[in-house]
Amino acid sequence: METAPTAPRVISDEKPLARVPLVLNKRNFSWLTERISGVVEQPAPRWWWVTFTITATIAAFGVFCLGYQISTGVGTWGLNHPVGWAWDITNFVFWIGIGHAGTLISAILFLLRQKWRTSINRSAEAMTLFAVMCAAIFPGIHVGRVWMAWFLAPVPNSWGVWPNFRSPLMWDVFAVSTYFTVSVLFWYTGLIPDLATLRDRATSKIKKLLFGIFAVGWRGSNRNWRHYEMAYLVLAGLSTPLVLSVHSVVSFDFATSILPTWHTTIFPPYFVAGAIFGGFAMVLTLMLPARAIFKLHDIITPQHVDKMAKIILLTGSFVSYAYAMEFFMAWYSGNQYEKFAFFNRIFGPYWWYWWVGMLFCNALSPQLFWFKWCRRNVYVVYFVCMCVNAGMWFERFIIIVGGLHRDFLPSSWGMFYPTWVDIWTFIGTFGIFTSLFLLFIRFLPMIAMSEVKTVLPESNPHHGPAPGHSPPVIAGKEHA
Amino acid sequence: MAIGRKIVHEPMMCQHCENAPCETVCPVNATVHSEDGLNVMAYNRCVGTRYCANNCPFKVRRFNFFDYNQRPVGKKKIAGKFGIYQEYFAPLTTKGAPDTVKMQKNPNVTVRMRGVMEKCTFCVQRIEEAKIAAHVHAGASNNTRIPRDSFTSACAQACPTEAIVFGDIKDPESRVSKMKQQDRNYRLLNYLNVNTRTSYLARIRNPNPKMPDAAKIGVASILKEEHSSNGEAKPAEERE
Repeated sequence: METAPTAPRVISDEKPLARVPLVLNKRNFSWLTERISGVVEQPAPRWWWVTFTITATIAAFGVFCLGYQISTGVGTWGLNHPVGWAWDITNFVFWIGIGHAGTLISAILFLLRQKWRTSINRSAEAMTLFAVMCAAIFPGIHVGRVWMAWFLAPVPNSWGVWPNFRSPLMWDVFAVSTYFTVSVLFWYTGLIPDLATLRDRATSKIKKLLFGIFAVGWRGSNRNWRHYEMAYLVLAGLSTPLVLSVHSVVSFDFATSILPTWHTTIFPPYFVAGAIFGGFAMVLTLMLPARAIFKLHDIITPQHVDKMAKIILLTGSFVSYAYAMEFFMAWYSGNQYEKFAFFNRIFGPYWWYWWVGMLFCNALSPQLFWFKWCRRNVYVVYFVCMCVNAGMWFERFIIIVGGLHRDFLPSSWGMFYPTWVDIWTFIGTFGIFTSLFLLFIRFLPMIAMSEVKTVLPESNPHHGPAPGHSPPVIAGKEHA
Repeated sequence: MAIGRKIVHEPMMCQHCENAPCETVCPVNATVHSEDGLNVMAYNRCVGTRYCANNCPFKVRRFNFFDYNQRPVGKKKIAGKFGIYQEYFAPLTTKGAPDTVKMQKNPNVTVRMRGVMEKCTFCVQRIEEAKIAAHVHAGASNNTRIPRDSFTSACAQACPTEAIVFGDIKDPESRVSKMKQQDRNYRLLNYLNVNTRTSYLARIRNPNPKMPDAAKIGVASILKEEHSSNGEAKPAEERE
């Protein structure tokens, strides 16, 4: 439902330096509500069912592979001595890294008052939750005895044994569980006003009941908004250090060990930058099709894509610098194990992972974003994002398997080759991730309506009447 | 000028490092240090994260990837030429080993299940047996010290050339302590500061000085060569 755009009026108090509007085509509150709620309220389109069936099938097969591996043994993967970790931990770090972009958009950009985050933060945060869920699968199931994985929890037990708090895997347990908890709370808190909108617009009883329960009695009053803003700020403040610390803790899995390519202090910033790099690429991978399908170009504008591309360029450059520094330090150190390990990275048996994954995909492809036409062309952006997604996975693989397969004693060297169980478990997690994301866009508003409204000029109390139908706001409830 | 490669056999068992990199990284404290100086492995605590094996610079740890002791393992031919590995079909097989297989195993050694990490224990069962025998022998008195060099590990016992020597390094008169006092004694990867209990004696060779690689014989590559005034190469002191 689109009203004909009125002729542009000069608004008397408009600031002389006009910024590119964050919502194009002078949309108003009600257009926004209709457009975004409409996705949830209308029945799911056929493409949604087709895609969901495919991803759910893949997810189910992934779960079967997990069951096979847990019942038969870790040997169903390609692991052997000396490579004790390969796809399992690569996938774990890959998914956790992706999650960090969502929290950066939601929390850090909020604290930095970047208003452009409002159209992408809901989906990005949802992506974080699903990515963390996919990530958390791996530490749980990669252990030899999954039914005893609860040993890692610090609970009093009959043997009087605590877990080993010096181990980075324990730190992972705390970091990832904290991250997931805070992310869920943050995402849910932000959802409350939108759930209330959906509750008020609900046509069927069941929808009204469910949205009503989860909207926890939101009335849109001044008091509600004040508490909401405070809670949002506190949770953003809690999430911000998590973005930096969680992936640093994950990097400690490697940095605190003694193996040549693992034992390096560059890992915490390297991993965090890489996480944001890969995560933004995944956000765009999801958002560019979503905006094309649901015609959300006015809300997720080319300006948003441009800004995200710039962040990808920035973090990609950090990562490229880190790569260069690793090579430099390996040479400068004179340590023969370190020098060999990095020589092996480029010329050893896994050479093409480095050349394709780290060099071309991670270091070179984002450099296209220096050019404005590249940032503005969705196909180039999508291509670079896919490259980065793949490149980040390859990078983690090179770090993990590259470090393990050839370390100190040449007599211990051994190759790793993945089995079908490795591969399909990973593809299965993509199925889980995409299925959850499809469910999210079907049942929940994928854009934060209440937050996007705050960046419309209409939300400014000193603004004149908005173009088109402008509903009076009475007692906090919007009459659509 | 081709330098000939020389090969030595170096039996690589768990080095029982004082500063073991495997111990700090186990999340469930399944591998800890005993007062005897052993790096001990608690199989029933191990959940199988394999971090200890990854962090071991010597890669001496072995993981039970399949149910080797309860399920049939190995290649089995089915349908003519088509061979499959039975361990991949474990859930479809019956659990339990035949009695003959069970009787073959050493009753003093724990049978490890699927998903736990194992390694050389310095024959901890023999050490405990010796300790128990010493306590029994001591009776009421406090003299529970195991007699010097009274028992040995299985590998040392089996070695036909007595290349492996096992004993109490806290006792300066034991065979192993005397051997460690030799100049030939070296530890592997000590620059990592892992302080291995196991050390090796460098092999003595007597090459013909006219051979082109005579100077390099018996010199570890990690040592830098210094040339003395008369033009002969000699190895420098190992920096620790």
